[in-house]
Order: sequence, then structure tokens, then C-alpha cells
Amino acid sequence: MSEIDEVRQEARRNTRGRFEQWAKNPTCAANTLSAVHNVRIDIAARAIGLTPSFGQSPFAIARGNRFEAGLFYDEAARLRAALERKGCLPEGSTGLLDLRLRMNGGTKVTSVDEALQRTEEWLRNLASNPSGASSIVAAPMIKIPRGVILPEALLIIDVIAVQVAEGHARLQVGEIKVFPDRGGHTDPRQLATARAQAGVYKHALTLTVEALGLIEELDIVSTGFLVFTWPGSNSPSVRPDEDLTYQSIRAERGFLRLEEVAQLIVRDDDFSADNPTLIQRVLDADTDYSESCLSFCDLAPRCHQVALGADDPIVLGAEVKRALGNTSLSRAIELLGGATPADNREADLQRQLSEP
Amino acid sequence: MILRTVAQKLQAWDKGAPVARYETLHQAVVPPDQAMVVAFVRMAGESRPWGVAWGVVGAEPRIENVPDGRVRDDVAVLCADFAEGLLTHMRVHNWTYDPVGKSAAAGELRQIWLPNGQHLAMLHQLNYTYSQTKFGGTNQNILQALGRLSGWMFRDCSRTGHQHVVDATRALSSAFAFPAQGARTAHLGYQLAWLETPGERDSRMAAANGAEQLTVSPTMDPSVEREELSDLVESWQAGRREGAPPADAEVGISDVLEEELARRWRLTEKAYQLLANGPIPVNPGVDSLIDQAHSEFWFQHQRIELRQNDPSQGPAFIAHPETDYHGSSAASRYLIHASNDEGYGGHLIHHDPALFSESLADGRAFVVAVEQVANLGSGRSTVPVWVVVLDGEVPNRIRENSRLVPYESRGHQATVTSISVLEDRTELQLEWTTRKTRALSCGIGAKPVDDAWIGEEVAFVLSDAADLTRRRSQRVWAAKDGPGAWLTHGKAPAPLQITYEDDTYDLLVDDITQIAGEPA
Repeated sequence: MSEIDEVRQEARRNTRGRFEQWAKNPTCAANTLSAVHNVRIDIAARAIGLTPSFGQSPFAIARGNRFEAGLFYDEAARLRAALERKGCLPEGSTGLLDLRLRMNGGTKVTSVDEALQRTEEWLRNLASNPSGASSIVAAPMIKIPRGVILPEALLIIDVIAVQVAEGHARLQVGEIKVFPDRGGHTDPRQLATARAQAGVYKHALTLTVEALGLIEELDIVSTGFLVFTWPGSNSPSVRPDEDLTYQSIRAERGFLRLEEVAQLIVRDDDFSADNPTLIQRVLDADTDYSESCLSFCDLAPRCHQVALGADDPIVLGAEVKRALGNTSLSRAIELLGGATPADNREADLQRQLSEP
Repeated sequence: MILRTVAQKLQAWDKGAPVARYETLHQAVVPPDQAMVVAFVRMAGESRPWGVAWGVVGAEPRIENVPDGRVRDDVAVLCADFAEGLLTHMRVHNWTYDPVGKSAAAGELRQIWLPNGQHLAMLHQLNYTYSQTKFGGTNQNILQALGRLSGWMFRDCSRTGHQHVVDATRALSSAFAFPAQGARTAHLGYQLAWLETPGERDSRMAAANGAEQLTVSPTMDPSVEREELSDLVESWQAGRREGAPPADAEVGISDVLEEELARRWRLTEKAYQLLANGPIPVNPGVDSLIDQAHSEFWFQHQRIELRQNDPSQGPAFIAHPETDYHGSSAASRYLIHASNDEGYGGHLIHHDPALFSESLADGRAFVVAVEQVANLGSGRSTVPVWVVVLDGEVPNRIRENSRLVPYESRGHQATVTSISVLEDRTELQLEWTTRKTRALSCGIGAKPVDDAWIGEEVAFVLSDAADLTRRRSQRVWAAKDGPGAWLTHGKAPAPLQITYEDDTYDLLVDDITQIAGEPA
């Protein structure tokens, strides 16, 4: 029990991960409940005897930590050089404000509360006196106001580049990923994920700055930058000027939609419930199985079995489901075999399926 | 096309087993000793291989690995070993006594079979890592050659109709419709279990679900790294730091990696055997694709390798792993790819009725009834003209001046000179332009000018402009003063310096500098 509580507590901090998980299948109530209540799906899957298949390799974690540590080492010399080369910072930029928690490789900040407080101080100072500000800020932590994702939402932004122009601070969010940048051959899904995450940062930073009443003083740039690795090396490869306008809008709409959906399915007593109860709530919730579930949800095998039992065409993929609609697999096969259609819709389906 | 896929999936579900998508394979399958199977594993988060398995079909694979995939020098030695096998197999100049020549026969094709697209991406990683490396000591040359060959193979895979590298998962997906979700059939083990397990649908599905649990990607299951490898690697590294890496840790790591590599290699070999010995024959039109592939290999790789060691043959253009950094080259390559893409279907469709049916549904092929035959030539010239009728309900993409090829009679060609859309039918006037005095190899087999065609039904396929596009690819090089010269003959960006964690660096030299012959 205490172990589950710890896990849940850790997940509670991971607002971004929860949001992205929800966005992968927003029509599934079980997925929504899992995101809202920070009930990890792998834990729910274990509770019904399924073996979770999604996890992280210790080597991948170590590589990520090593890469990130290398970026911020020596006043972020390596990252700074890459950012300057790509025009995200001016030549000769200076200063690193390291807000990383000690447990994440930082040197000064020891707790979440301290990180939140120091991030707020930094934003206020930057608004009142931007000159001399550090040009790179590592891992600022923000709390999203207005109770988005009940009951709280914390975000750690990977990095922010600060430029000062005409007495005004200009903030640009950056997303750090360890995967290799292979130019035009970079995995498009990885790129999309990184952009989406940077969009969440940008939206959250804007919300925070607005809540602090600093929106006139601080300029949150609509573009961001992505930091990847050069294949086979720990050198950063920076992709500058990534337009985050639509990713930010996506995040804004997504948070609002998640809130709306959560209000419909979350019960008042959920927030006082213990973990086993919440896990059971997730397991009992309605599901909406789709092909995308295979990429992230450890409960997918259960949903697949249910779909098989229900003769649901989703077991043959989203394309088949779209084509057949509410027609069951067995009926579609009968129609394909020449059965007499019961109505116009079946007749149309039969004609389409029988075309060469 | 989508509904055809849906119908095939339903048929497969009903049958309880995958069904063939077409009547022929659209990919060459070379004899076993010409097909080398290659599989990689890498440490999660890393780009370089941790281990490689390679060997021709039917023989025991060679499986090599290093204790820690992060140790660059060890990996370089591993890759040099692999390079020797790969370069020899592909008959690359300077690395074999028997290099592939400019006009190689179809039977000389050598293939590399990889488990899936992730392994293909490993070729690109090798290209990045080694094509211009300044490391490797005595192995530097062979590593650079490995990088260049890997890069060519990776790039060539984006060309429609490529034949040298086969992604086994994709090859099976192209050949069969599986009664399962597309996301799941991206797993080679899952596909093979559906194809090879005897019995009914449930037993096949159960076998496929089981096979799916074992990863085929170069990145291993995190639980394997966490539970079986992590401690061993840590202990090996600890020993290494003290100058005595423990042999038992090395053996332990090697055992795990060998098992992982062997599984990936065997699965890929099985995929080869299934296609090579299965019921679906290779499309005879693939021979033309092999000719194109040989030509690509010669001009894009082999000739460059020759020039590497013999500058008197001309400058060696070495493509950057990321992009061309060379406008003319990019434009030319684009047009070559466009040409291959346009021409691909035309090579295959005449030998595959299922492909023809697909084109019928797409409106790229159609059946007409011949109403009139005339010869508009004068004197000794022959200009056969047909008036044909097409069902008005049938979808078609015909425009005036469209060029048509009679189905199963590739080489003949007619141009649509007029189209009259009537109430229930479409009337076309066709003028024969190619092989107009030679008998067609379809239908009644008469010459186009023969009246015997009247009343006959003839199927046609829309022709392509692949040859024209190919010619344009050559003209780009000479367009220095043309309207797009600012793009195709622009200046290349500066070379990039890549720094490693030990403060050493590689310089990625751009190819224009190399062409100009300036020192790197």
C-alpha cells in the first residue's frame, strides 16, 4: 500500500506525462480516470494479473541523465554553444540558473516547494529587472493555476532560454530529448512527441506568468527549441524556431477538455479514496478500445479480449472499424459471402466490399 | 484500395489465417547464398550497435557483441568485423576481388535482409557514426567504407522499387493481409506466428500473441536490460575501471546478447524462407526493377568507391548522412526517385491480375470495347486508330493525351486523341504510337491495325512519364544558368564539428568541399 502511495505521489508530479497519456485516447473513461487520479495503468494492469510491457531501461535512464548533466555542466557550456550556433541565444551569452532538484542532478534546490518558490522569484525578478539575467534556466518548476487536472498540476520545464531586448525579457521554452537527430530521417513520432511536450510547457508557462500578473513585462515566445543528440555522441543537436502556436492551443484545449470530461466521470468521494479503490474505479470504468491503445496502455490485452467477445471489428484495426461502423465482424463476413442485406446500409457495405 | 484491404482482412479473419494480397511478390528474392541476414541489438538510448548477427541464409550466423555498447573503441572493432562480411557480400570495390560491375545481370543481385525498419535505421546510424570518422586507427578505412555503404543502403530504401535491402516485416506485410490490427503486424514474430502456426484461428492468434511478447527491435525489452544485463554491465565496468574487467560478466552479457541476436536473425531467415519457398511467385517485372537497382548501386555507390581509391577516375561525391547539402544532387535525386515511383506499377501490373484489379478500382486501368479500327497512315506509314467505348459508370482517370498501355502487352502504347462523354458511356479515340505494326501479346494477338479487333474487349492501363522524369534528372546538373539555379547550384553551408564526451571531435565535411578537392 505504501509503495503504491509513493508511486502515485510521484505520478502526481508528472502532469505532462498524465496529460499526454490521456491525449492518446481521450474517449476512454478508464484512461481519463487514470490520468486524473494519477493511477498508473501498469499498476492497474498488475492488479488484474496482466504483465505490464511498457517500462524504461536503466541504460536509457542513465543515458538521459548523463546527456542532461553534460548539457548543464560548466555553466551549460555545451548547450550554450549549440543554442548560440542556432541563434536561440546571442553570441557571448552568459549565466545559468540551475533550478533542478538535487535528486535530478541539481546542486542547490532540495524540495519541490523550494523549486516552485525559486521559479516564482526568478520570474518576478526577471520582470522587474531583466538586465543581467541568466540566459539559460534549467528545470524551472511551475504549478498550473486554476486547478487544471484535479487536484494539482506541477510541471518541470526542461530548459528556458532568456534573451533581453530593449529592457524586455524574452522567454523561449526548450524540450530536451536524448534520441538522435537524424535530420529529415528523424523518427516523426518522436519529433511530434517532443513538439507536443514543448507546447504544453509553453502553455503552462503562459498561464503561470498571467497568474503572477507579469504578462506585460515578460514575453513568452511562440516558438521553442528542441534539443536532441547527434547520433553516436552526447553533443546536442538543437532544432530552433519550432512553431509551438498550435501545440500550445492543443494543450490549452486538451487541459480544458480533460477538465470537462473529468467533471463528468469523477465522483466526489474519489479524492478521499485510497489507492486500491481508485485502481478498482479505473478497472471498472468504461473503455473505448482503439489501435492507439497498443502503444501505451497495459490494459489493452483486456480490452482486446472484450472486443473479441463482442465481435467488434476493431480487432482488425481502426481502418476496418471505420469501414464497418456498427456492423459486427460476423455479419460483415456473411455479407462478403453473399448474404442478403437487411437494409440499405448493409447493401451499400456489401457493394463496396465486393468491388475488385 | 482501403476497402479492398478491409475485404482482405475480413477474408483472412474468416479463413483464420493470412491471405495473399496479390498474386505475385513485388520484390526480388535472391538465392540463399546471395541473401545475407543482418540483425542488430543496441543498448537503450544508444545509437551504435551492442551486437550484430550476420550471415547468409542456410548457414550459421556469425554473432558478435561487446560487453558495453557505450565503449566506442570496442564497438568500432565489432563494426570493423561486420564491415568485412558486409562489404564482401555486397561485392563493393576495394573490398573484394569480384566487385559488381556497371552492367550486372539480374542473377548477380545481392540482398541484405533485416528484421524491420528499426534495424534499417541502424544502417543510418552507422552512416552517421563512421562514414567520415577520424577514429578507428587501422580500422578507419573499413569503418568509413561501412559508413558509406550503410548510408547508401539506407537512402536507397526510400526509392520505390529498391531491391538490395529487404525489410522482412514490410515484405511480409506487402505479401499478406493479416487478420489483425496494423499496429500489431509491424512485429515480425507476430506475423510469422500467424503464417506458420498450424490449426485454426484461435491457435494461430494465441501463438501470435505469445510471439509478440518478445521484442524484435534493436532496442531490447527494458526488463531484459533491467533484470539480466544491468548488474553484469555495472560489474564489468567496475572491473574495467580497475584494469581487470571480470570475464564472467563478459560471458554473461555475451550469452544474453547472443540469444537476443540469434532470435532476431532466425526470425528474419524464416521470413526469407517463407517468401522464397512459399506459394506466391516473384513477379517477372521485378527483373526490370533489379536492372534499375544495379544501376543505382553502380552510380550512387560502387563508382564512388572506385574513385575513393583512384582519384584519376573523377571526384568522389560522398553524400552527407543527414541530407545532400548540394542543390543539384538533391534535385537530381528527387527526380530519379520520382521517376522510379511513377514507373514502378507499370513494371509489375502486367504480370499480376490482383494488381490490375486494384488499378481498375482506382480508375488507373479499365476495359473498353473496340467499335472501329482504321489506318490513318498514308503510303507506307501505318497509323492505327481505334474508337473504343468505356462504360460510363466505371471510374477512370483518362484525360486527352493520356497514354495507354494494353494490359499484358507492355511496349505497345496508344494516345487518347479525343474523349466524348455520352449519357451512358464514354467514347475514346486512340491513336497507336508505339509498336504500331507489331501484334499485341494480349487478347486475340492481332496487330493494332487489324479489323479483327472490332467487337473485342481490351483492357488498358494508364502509362507513366517515368522516362521523361529520368531525363529531367540528368538535365538538372547542366542547369547552372537556368531559372532554378539559385536553388540547385547554391552555396553549401559550413562544415559541422561534432564533439564527443572525451573532447575529441569529428568534422562532418560537406560534399561540395570534397568535390572541389579542398583539404578536409
